[in-house]
Amino acid sequence: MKKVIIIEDYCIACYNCEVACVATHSRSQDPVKSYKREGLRGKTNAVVEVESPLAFSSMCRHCKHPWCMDACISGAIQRLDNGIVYLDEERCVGCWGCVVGCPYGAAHPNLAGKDKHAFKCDLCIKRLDAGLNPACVEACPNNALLYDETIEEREEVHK
Amino acid sequence: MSKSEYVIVGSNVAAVGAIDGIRKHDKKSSILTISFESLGSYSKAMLAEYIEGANAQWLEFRGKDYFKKMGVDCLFGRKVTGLDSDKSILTTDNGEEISYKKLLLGVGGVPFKPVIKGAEGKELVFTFTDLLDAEKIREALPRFNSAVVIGAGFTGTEIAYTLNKLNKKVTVVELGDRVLVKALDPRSSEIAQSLMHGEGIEFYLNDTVEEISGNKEITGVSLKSGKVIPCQAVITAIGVIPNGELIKNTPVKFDRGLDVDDYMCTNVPNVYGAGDVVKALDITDGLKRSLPLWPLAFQQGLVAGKNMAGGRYPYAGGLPINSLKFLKVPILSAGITTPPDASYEVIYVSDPKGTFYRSLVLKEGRLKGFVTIGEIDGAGVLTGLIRNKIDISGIKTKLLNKKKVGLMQMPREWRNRIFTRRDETDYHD
Repeated sequence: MKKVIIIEDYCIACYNCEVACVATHSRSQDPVKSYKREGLRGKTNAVVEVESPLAFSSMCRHCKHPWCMDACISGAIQRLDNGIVYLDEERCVGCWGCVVGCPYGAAHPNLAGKDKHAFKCDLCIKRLDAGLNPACVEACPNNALLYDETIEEREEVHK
Repeated sequence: MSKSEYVIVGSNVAAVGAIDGIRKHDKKSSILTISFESLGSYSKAMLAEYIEGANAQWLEFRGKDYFKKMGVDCLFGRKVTGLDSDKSILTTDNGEEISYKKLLLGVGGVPFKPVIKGAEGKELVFTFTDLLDAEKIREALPRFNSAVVIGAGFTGTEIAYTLNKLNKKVTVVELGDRVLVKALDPRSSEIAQSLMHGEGIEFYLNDTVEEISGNKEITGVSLKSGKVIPCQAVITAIGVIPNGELIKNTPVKFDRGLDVDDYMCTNVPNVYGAGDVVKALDITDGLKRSLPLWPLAFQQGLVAGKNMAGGRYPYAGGLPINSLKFLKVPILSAGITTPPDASYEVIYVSDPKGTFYRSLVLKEGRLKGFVTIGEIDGAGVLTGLIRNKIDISGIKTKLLNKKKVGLMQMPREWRNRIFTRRDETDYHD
């Protein structure tokens, strides 16, 4: 399946991916409104890490065998037929099993909001259905995020 | 006599893992799951939610029609009473015989119940391990205002917290000298205890309940120290022990837990085990032990199922992980949190306000366990460091930073494998 490939050497820490992620998962679909009015600051599935000069954005790897799903006591996390590891926030009881289970730190606790639940990348499932790329990939100005197959040939590209 | 290719005793998370595993390799053969419980597969980890008023259907973590969807026959509300492993036949409590080709024992654990004087014949004495227990407690809620919980482990503190939330006066009595001894180190135990105390829960440590007084109705308990606590209900939550009932007088090896090999098979071919009943590999120290935890039960079930269906997948091992989900300040831990001997190194950081604490337990430069309180985002990266046995001696102090633990701290080469191509999760198809 296609996933978001992360190329850390290309990341310029512009945070466009975070803004795009928040906006696309908001009601308004608008970056300014989603931060200002919807209180979604920090609720991004793509997270930029910076320790200058190194920077990268990371998000769920949509594992074949997801550790987060094994740990999910409510059934909120399921692997869909298309391979997307999906977290249904409505079903989540906020046990943080996925938070402690995911070796990539890609399942996040929503501690700021009043609803106690975890959240994670859904690979922009709605955008994919509409034939678009994930929002973070679309927003990345330097091809540090690509939507592509995770094939062994990538190793050569990366070298 | 009915026949089934695969028979699974138990219907909870280990069974679900096994069904998933079997069906990855074998889409057709018959699977039968038998459980004494009437509600098929439900989340035992969500029983507190049930007591608080959640609908029982809400606990069915794979949905109501999971078994049907997977083509599994169910025999619920029926207890398996006999096992003849030579003839491959099970007997149920209504005398029915069922033959199998491959058997999975996912019979779980049974609550450890201490013998307490005066416990017999009292109505409001409970355990807290399965839905039946939770139903009894929920149904009895209007009939008590105060409760004593015996045991300050994971289930004990969870039920204490839940009852306290439901406006009961709760006192916890613990034989050990601190709370959550298995999940936390002494410093974080203290933080957890003070958090719970702040919510109104009383604790008596280094003490135990000797007698429950009253006639049919409880009036109180007396402790070993001589202290008397008035209460109307008692809940014992000391922990669960592997359930060896069914395999008594069978050749299946059981010594305080079902003995299984790397493929989750017992010493009797065609008889497998998974979940709270087994002793399986703990990767933190390489020993086999009973670790009654949700994700491990699922993974063991999955591995057992794949092997039952003809695959050959070793169990990669698990490690204890804990999440104290009920607390307002989140606490997560994994692996060895209290070092057993001086060969381990402990480093920690704690915020004087008590809202942030993190401790790391290392051995020979490798992370063996951690506790993190307050800041939990990215804690799974630490779990990954334990699983991958990565040398962290150069970065250990960075991992104590209050900010989110991230992949930034991981070796570049490891990180880029994850980022660019490889799916390094276990149990590939």
